[in-house]
Amino acid sequence: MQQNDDHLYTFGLLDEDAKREIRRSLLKAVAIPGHQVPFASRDLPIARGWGTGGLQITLAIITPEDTLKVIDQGDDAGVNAVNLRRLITQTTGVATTVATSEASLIQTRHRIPEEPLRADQILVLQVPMVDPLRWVEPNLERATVMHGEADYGRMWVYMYESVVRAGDLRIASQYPVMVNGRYMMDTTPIPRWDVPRLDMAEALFLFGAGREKRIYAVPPHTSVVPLQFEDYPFRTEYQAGQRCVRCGAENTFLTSHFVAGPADGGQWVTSCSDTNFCDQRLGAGEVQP
Amino acid sequence: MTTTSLLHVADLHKRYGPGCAACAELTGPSQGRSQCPRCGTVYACVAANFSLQTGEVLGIVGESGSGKSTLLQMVNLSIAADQGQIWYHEPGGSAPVDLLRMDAYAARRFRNDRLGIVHQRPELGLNMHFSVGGNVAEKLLLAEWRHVGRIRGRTSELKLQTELPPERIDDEPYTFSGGMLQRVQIAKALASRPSLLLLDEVTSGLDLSVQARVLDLIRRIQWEEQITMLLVSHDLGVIRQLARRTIVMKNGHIIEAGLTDQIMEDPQHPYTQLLVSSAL
Repeated sequence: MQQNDDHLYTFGLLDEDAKREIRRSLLKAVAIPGHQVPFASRDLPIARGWGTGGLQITLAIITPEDTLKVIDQGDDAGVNAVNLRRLITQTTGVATTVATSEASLIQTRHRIPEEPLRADQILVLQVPMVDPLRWVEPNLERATVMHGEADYGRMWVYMYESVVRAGDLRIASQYPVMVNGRYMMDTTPIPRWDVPRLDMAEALFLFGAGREKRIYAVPPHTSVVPLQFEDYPFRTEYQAGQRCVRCGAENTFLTSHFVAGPADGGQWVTSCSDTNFCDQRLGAGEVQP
Repeated sequence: MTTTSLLHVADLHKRYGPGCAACAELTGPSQGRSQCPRCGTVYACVAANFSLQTGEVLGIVGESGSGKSTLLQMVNLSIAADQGQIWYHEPGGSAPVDLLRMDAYAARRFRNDRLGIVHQRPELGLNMHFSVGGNVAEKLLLAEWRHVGRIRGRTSELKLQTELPPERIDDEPYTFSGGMLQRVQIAKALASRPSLLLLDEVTSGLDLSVQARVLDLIRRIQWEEQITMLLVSHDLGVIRQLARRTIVMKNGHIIEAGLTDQIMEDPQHPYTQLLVSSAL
């Protein structure tokens, strides 16, 4: 934004009434962990599906003193992250960082940083599909009643059938969890690797779905338990022998990509999804590749 | 309520519409209609009173639209009653509870743990997108069973009990015949070992030989499990085979109640006499 255009925007782009309404919904969401709270999702200068829900939460709670970090699939330099960061900084002027430990507010698409979050940090997740019951009950009204009565039998049958037919729980991302023993919640497309990080965490997790106009939250120290069976427990993704091609880490969420080579035509390699975590390990010389 | 009653229904009402001052005069068995001609209100159930003893089979008989299924659905807590009480006394348990005072969450738990229902139309009782085994497992999963192996074991038991082919446990319901689907519904209803089994026109639409086999199955299960049943049917033949006591309903009212044999041999109300004579 040009300097002389500053007066055209309020702090954080949204008008104060909109921010107040979102904050009220956030308070309710925090008070009832895992419960989907409706909110009047506003139009933004980015398209629905690009993280408008998360963006509205961030814009509603950000303060001039905040230090912002925005990541896309763990990557600070992803297209989504770069554009959202630019929009937020241009309309607020807050400081930004790529270091997880330095950030007070982190907006993320589909990952939770590897570094454990602190009590003074807030993670805002962008949510494409709000309701875990969507797989088994497409009718929103009936699904709302099912949530109200904690009637999650059908979702459990979905999991049961998954085991019976495929031999295991075959949900890769958006893994359903029970929050505080009451509400079933969609974990957004974070990988299964990140699901345990939600349980009894120090930080506050806020989830925003702009297209579906819903907000939900996991407050600090709240139990988040993935759906699982005694004989088929929940497991995170792990493949023995896989390690980051850059820092050599084996205990992080790895993504694979193809690297073209001059002679043999190239190969598939894996690297840390959380680029900042990887850079820090390399910088500290903790593990050599 | 007697000490051995499992269920006591008292002054249960259900109407659809606002009602008017003339309703009482213009509806009921004496008028031959349950819909008020002035305001259009339908009186589906009016002042229903009955008790159900533990281990007993109680039949509810009447023509289509007489209110018997509405009464059953109110006992199943799937239709909200306008007024009245449904007292449930857990066998060997504590004080009776009024089911109509439960909140939605408690009602859902009660319905899953203590009640089993078999609908006339299988698609009302079964999820056609899940396998037969999954449908039966749903009751167990809702009752917090969290071990796939044990669920499979209980499902297999139920398959044997209801004479379903075990090798078809993972088939989709739409590949089953009507009689088989009723067996699947019965297996599902029995999964959580309910205190009360509700049967809503379970043999309607089935051919006579299949009907006879389903009735035999219900009779055998009742004998083996000593399960309390509330059986709704418009067919006196079905009621006669299964129920010890019977309630006759017409235009939303209970017009006669007593031992099934007594009602069959010495019906008091003109409508019951007509019903019995047409069944003979």
